[in-house]
Amino acid sequence: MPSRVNPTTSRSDERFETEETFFPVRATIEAVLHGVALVALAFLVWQAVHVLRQRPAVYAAGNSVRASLVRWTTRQAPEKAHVALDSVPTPDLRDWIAALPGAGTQMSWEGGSLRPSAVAVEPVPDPKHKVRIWVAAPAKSMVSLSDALGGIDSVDVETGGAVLTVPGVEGDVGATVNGTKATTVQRDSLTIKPVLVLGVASWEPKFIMASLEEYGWKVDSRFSISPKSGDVVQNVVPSAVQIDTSKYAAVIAVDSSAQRYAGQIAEYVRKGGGFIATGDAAALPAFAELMPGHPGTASQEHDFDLDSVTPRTAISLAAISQLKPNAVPIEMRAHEVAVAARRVGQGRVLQVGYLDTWRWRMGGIEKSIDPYRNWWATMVSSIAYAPRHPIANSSPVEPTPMASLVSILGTPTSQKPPSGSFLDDPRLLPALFGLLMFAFLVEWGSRRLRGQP
Amino acid sequence: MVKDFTFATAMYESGDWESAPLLPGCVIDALARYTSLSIAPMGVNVALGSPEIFNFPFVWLTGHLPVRFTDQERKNLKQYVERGGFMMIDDHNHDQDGIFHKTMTEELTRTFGPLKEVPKTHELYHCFFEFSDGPPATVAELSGWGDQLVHKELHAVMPQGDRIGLLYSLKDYSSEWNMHPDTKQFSTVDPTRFGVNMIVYALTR
Repeated sequence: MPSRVNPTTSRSDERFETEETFFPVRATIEAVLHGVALVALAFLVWQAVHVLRQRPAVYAAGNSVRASLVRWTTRQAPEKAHVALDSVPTPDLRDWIAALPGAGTQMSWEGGSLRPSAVAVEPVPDPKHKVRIWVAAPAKSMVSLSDALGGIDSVDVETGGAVLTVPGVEGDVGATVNGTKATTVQRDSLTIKPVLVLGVASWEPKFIMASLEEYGWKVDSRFSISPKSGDVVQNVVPSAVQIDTSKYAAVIAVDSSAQRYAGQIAEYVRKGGGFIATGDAAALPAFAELMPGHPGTASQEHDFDLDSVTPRTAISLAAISQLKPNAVPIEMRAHEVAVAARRVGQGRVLQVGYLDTWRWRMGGIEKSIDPYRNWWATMVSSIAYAPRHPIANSSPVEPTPMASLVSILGTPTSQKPPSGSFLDDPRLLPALFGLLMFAFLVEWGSRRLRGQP
Repeated sequence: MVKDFTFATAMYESGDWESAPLLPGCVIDALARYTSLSIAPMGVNVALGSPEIFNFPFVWLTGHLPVRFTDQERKNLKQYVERGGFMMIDDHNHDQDGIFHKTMTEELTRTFGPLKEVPKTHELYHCFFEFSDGPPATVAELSGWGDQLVHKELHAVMPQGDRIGLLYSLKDYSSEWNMHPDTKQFSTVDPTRFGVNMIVYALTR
């Protein structure tokens, strides 16, 4: 009877054969995983060589730009890079992007949603609103203005810009439009000197003076009362009025009594002073060389309409005609020049054709005080002499962020650079590495569970 | 073009606004005598309740009788002062217990709040003639008429700083200046000189 046991076969060999028989599929899978691991490893080696040899083109957008810049700068120097910006980057990020071409990366960018904006600040010879802020922004956008102390104001831009006058600003002034903040600082301040009003004591100079004082101007005055008694003065030495740019921001002459100061006023204007002539003062031959035009005959005299809702259309007007070549009409009434301005030497001259403007304040509609006061204050401010003084300020500002971006990064393009093959995808490396490790560990684990080395 | 100064007297519906008919001519005479201002030779009467009041930035108002302004008069008075007009109100009774003073100060307080005392240093007393002791005394005060007091100060509504918009007097300048201008020649000192100060102040401040 033949033995049932093969004496040449050990127990272990027997078990092996049994397992080989039972796990052919498992062995096959292990072999496949082994192969996958080897292929992945080989691909990773090839990829490393490929990246070193041929750098890829890469792309980043929005919030990922900064992280991408870190990667591109420290681990991967792409041949081409394209960034899509959804807001104007901070100066450091912008400069970082601009520096990449220096490392051999061809940069391009786009910013389809970015809108240009700009902000500027200038001092104004106005005691109430000393600073004017200019903002350029896209139409139909809202601009928020702020300074170092907090929010200043916000304004809806209708056509492309806005101008605001404010009492003052502190530190950096920012204008935020669609998330982009333009910043600037006030670089000059003005010395605002008093205004001198000259005239015979009457309602016109009195109301001009009172309104300017109420507005915030410091006003000196000299009103003629009587040759014997002299003049009624305010803040002026009665014996002599010294009209000079060191003393006055502007001089207002209301009537012919200014004749005696004609020489001083002409010199004052040539040195930079501001001069406003109205009423009979504008018709004085002594001021003819200074005036922007020739005063006409008074119209609508004595027919001021007490119920007028537009008082300046109702008060008397001596329309200004025969404007000199460098004269500019400032205000028109119908087709007539009501106010005109002209530069003379370094100064400015304003000729006001309206007569008896005090009736506007006394007899206009109920809310006539502020418009009258503001109108005269604006007239004075427009010609006032105010020496500038620089303000020391070294903080970095960006008054035109979009323009600076274009200037530094070049013209934006909406065409992304070719991204190359999927091999250039930075996500490929970790994916391959993960696959390698997975295949290796599974294959190794499976073999160990079978008792194989 | 220097416009004429016109002396305007306010007419109001209650009381006797016309109680000092010679006063405008007397003050106009003083203005012509001491200044070279262009002055309308005749005064005008203008209703406090009419919009025409705003054509005259200086208005005189006086009376003996109780005063009760209409709503329109009260509204115009407030606007008149706020816009920069100068109104002089004088108690023709010279009597702090008098009915004009009581009713008028009630009206003014109701419209503007309490009146302020005008200090002796105020420009009103120095802008033309010098009145270093404040408002000049009147014959009515010195004669012991009315409340038998010499009032040392005037009161005012000052809408902006110390600028006077309405001046209120218990001194009875309405009697003092209610005379034919030629009568002044019998006085040692022209009593209407303070009237000149008031108008010069109104024209220059």
